[in-house]
Order: sequence, then C-alpha cells, then structure tokens
Amino acid sequence: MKIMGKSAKSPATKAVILAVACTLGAMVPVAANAAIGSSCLFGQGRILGTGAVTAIDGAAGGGINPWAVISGYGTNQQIGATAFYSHVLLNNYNLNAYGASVGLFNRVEISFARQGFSLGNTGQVLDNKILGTAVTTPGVSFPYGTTTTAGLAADKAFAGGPAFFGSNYDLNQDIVGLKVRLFGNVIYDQNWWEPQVSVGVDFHHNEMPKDFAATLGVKRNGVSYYLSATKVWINGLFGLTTLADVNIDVTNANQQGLLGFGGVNGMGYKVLPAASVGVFLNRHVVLGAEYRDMPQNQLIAASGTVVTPGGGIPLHLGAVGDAVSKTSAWKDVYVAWFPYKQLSLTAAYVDLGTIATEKNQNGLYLSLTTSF
Amino acid sequence: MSFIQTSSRLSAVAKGVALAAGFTAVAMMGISTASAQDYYAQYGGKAGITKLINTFVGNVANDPHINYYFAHTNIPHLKYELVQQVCMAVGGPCKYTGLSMRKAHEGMGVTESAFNYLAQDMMDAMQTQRIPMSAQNYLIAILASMEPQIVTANGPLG
Repeated sequence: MKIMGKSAKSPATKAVILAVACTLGAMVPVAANAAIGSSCLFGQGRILGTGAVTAIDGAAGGGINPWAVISGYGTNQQIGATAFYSHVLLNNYNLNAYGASVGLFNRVEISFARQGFSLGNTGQVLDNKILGTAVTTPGVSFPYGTTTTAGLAADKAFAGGPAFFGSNYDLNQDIVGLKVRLFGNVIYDQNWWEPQVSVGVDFHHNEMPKDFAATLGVKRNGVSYYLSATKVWINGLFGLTTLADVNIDVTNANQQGLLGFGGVNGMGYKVLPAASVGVFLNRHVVLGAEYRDMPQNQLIAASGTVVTPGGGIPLHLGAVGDAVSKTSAWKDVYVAWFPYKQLSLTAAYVDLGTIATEKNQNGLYLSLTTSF
Repeated sequence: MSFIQTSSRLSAVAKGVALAAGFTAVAMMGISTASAQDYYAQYGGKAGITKLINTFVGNVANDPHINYYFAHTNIPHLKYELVQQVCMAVGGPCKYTGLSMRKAHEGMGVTESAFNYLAQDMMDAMQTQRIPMSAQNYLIAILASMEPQIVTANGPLG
C-alpha cells in the first residue's frame, strides 16, 4: 500500500515508523521528506458531519436512506469506524437496530446491522384478524389458543391452536452492506453541480421460520442494490449548508426485508426512488426530511386456501394476503446533532404507513452513532 | 479553472448525464442572495478580517494535527497574505498578490486531513469572531473548492 506518497524509504518501513509515531501520539513529521500532515492510519480527518448518521440498514446516511458518504471520518489515507443503536417506537410495533461499520480510505464502507421488529401485543391482534378472515367455515370457531407456534403454517396453526404470533413475536434480520464511492466529494465540489456518488449492496438474512416464509411466499435471503447521489452546498439555502440526496433502490425487500423478499408472483425486484434533504442550522445541528419508496409484492397466494392435513378445516389465508401485502413508502422528518466527531444523536418522527395490516405506523425514532 | 477540475469535469459528464438534470435544478438553491460587498461588511472590514486571521493562526498554532508544519513559517508574512486573500475573497478593496494556491503548495504532499484540520481551525476562528453563518459559509465554500489545488497526497484507493 502506498500510504506516504513518494519516498526514498520503502512504504512498509514508513508505515511502521508512522504506526509507532501514532502510538506515541507524536504527530511529527516522521522523515525529512514526509508528506505534510501525514496522519495516523486510524484517524478522523474529515469535516464534522461528513460521516452522516447511521441509517436503519447500518449504512452511513440519514435515518431511513443510505447516502453516498462513507461512514466514519477517515480521509483517503485513513480508516474510520462507527457503531450505532436505533430504536423506533411505532403505534403497534417496535423496531430496533444496532450494528457497526468500517470506512476504508473514504472509498469503501462495510457495514453490519441487526434489526429486530417486535410485534408485542399486536401479535395477538394479528392472530385474531387472521383467523377472523381465514376461517370461513360456518359454525366453527376457535378459542384463543395458548400455544404459540412460530410460523404461519396452516397445519401447525390448526394443530397447535390459532395463535400464530402470540404476545411476544420478533422478526429479526441481519444486513451486511457494502458501499463504494464512485466519484465526487460532498465538501470539495462546491463550484459546480457534481454530487458524491456511491453504489451499495445490502445482503439480508431474515430469521423468520421457514414455514412462515413459505406461507407468505417470500424468500428469507435477499440482496438489495442502490445508487446514491449526495450533494452538499456549503453556502446553500439562505446561506446555510444544505444537503440533498437522491437514491435509486433496486430491491425486492418487503418492508426493507422484515417481511422477506419477493412474493408469490416471483422475485419482485423493483426500481424505486428515495430522497433526503437536510439543512445545517449551524456546524452541529441539521434538520431534514426523508422519503423511501417500498416495493409492493403480493404476499400469500390469492387463491390460498390451505387445507390442513387429514381433511381439516381449510384456512383461507389468501383473504389475508392483500391486507398483509399492503406497503407504504417510508417517510421521516429528523434533527441530528453532532456535538463532536465521536458522537451523533438523531431524533425523528417517522411514518412507515401500513405494516402487516396495521395502519398508521408512525412514531418516534431515536438513534445514536459513535465514530472512532 | 484547474487541470484536475477540468479533467474530472469531463469524466463526470460521461458518468452521470442523468444526474445532471436533477442536480442542476437543485443547485439553483445554492445561489447566494447576498453580494460579496455585504460579506466584507459582515466580516467587519479590514479590521475584522485581521482579527479573524490572528485568531485563525493562533488556532493553527495550537492544533497538534498541523501546527508542526508551520514551525518554520514566517508568521507575519503568512498573516499578511491571508488577510489580503480573505479580504479579496469577501469582496473587500484588497488585492492578493501572493502565489497561486497550486504554486504555494506544490511538492508539499499536503494531505486531505491537514487541509480539513486547517479548515476546522478557520471555522472555529469565525465562530470566535461571531461572523454570521451565511458569511462563514460563503468563505468556507471558496476554501473547500481550493482543495484540488492544495491537497496532492493520494491514499491507497485514490
């Protein structure tokens, strides 16, 4: 790796000297011909705020959209890292996420996030809705079951009682993200229009039970792609630093993967728009809004009469399908605070629309990112 | 303007014609409403700019990330050149006659990190001198756009 530019000494030798100098905290030129400002490999040489906060999928960005920026504060000669925790309190659900990322030379970002979507008491509400719709045979009624079966398989549900979700059901997924900056710089490109542009790919693994996925007609693993263009005008609206981000998502993730990938009609990849804006009131506080469209995949076969083994009562789950499939674009308004490079705090009002038949899923989003 | 900007401008046109349409529209927001003359007043004229530069150079001297670089610099001369440069940039009746930014930093291998810490020291100085935010951003945007002429050290991935 060429870290130090032109040098009489071998790059490896200089890297060792540099590492020692960094360890000692001695920020001094390590050689007569050392590059000016030669910095530690692990550093935070970028401008405050340029690491952004952490989106719910673990990538550097806003609250719900990844942006073209690379996580942390590493320059083209430095490696940075972040860790985050986010919590979303919705009307009927809770969503939490945590994870970490590494930013390499302001070029490559590798991130990991684990999301947990808690149904809480809403699980029982959903159970009753499903049974109310799906059990159409006259004269048959189910008492609310005490056995919680993980998954929606009709046979299990039938055998174990009608509680599909019960009272404490969690949908979990892991997301590994890779983002590469293609060109542009949010800070330095001030005299003309060029944004900073990155491409990203997210590898999702949803931990929902196999039979649940089969009933929904979705895959548990999915890959999403995005192209992100982020522009910052330092001297923007009313002389305040202004940010605009436009993304193109190529994805088949239902509710960002929390309800699996694709649907009964196939892979279900869609090309969808997403956008974010922000205005820095000063160097530490940014106000903004976001929008992210979601694919609409048909979940649960429309003709879905599931006959239970042994000639049991058929469950017309297809009737539930349309309601479960209903997806809304995600939106938020946020305020993020960067007291210093090591910390950012974000609060937002999010509106995720309809999730798994429950309408008006809006509420408070709180997020903390720490950078190293 | 400069070779680097021109070449990247050409390559970027090839990269993202589609993006251009959207961002040109949004870029209109970036057009500043105040004239350069107003900024000179907001900086407190020549006296204000001199104070700003004194604070700024003091910040740099206390900044362990970059101060060693200025150990052998003729500070009074540096201050004079900076005052002239800032005064001219904010529309004041001054003329900067020093080296071009490219020439002044040639062969130094200035890093992005050093550039940013210096910019941070300037932002802190502006805050100390209570320069209005829009006037700060006017000058910071000009400083930021000089990066290709000043920073020449590459990283392992460009």
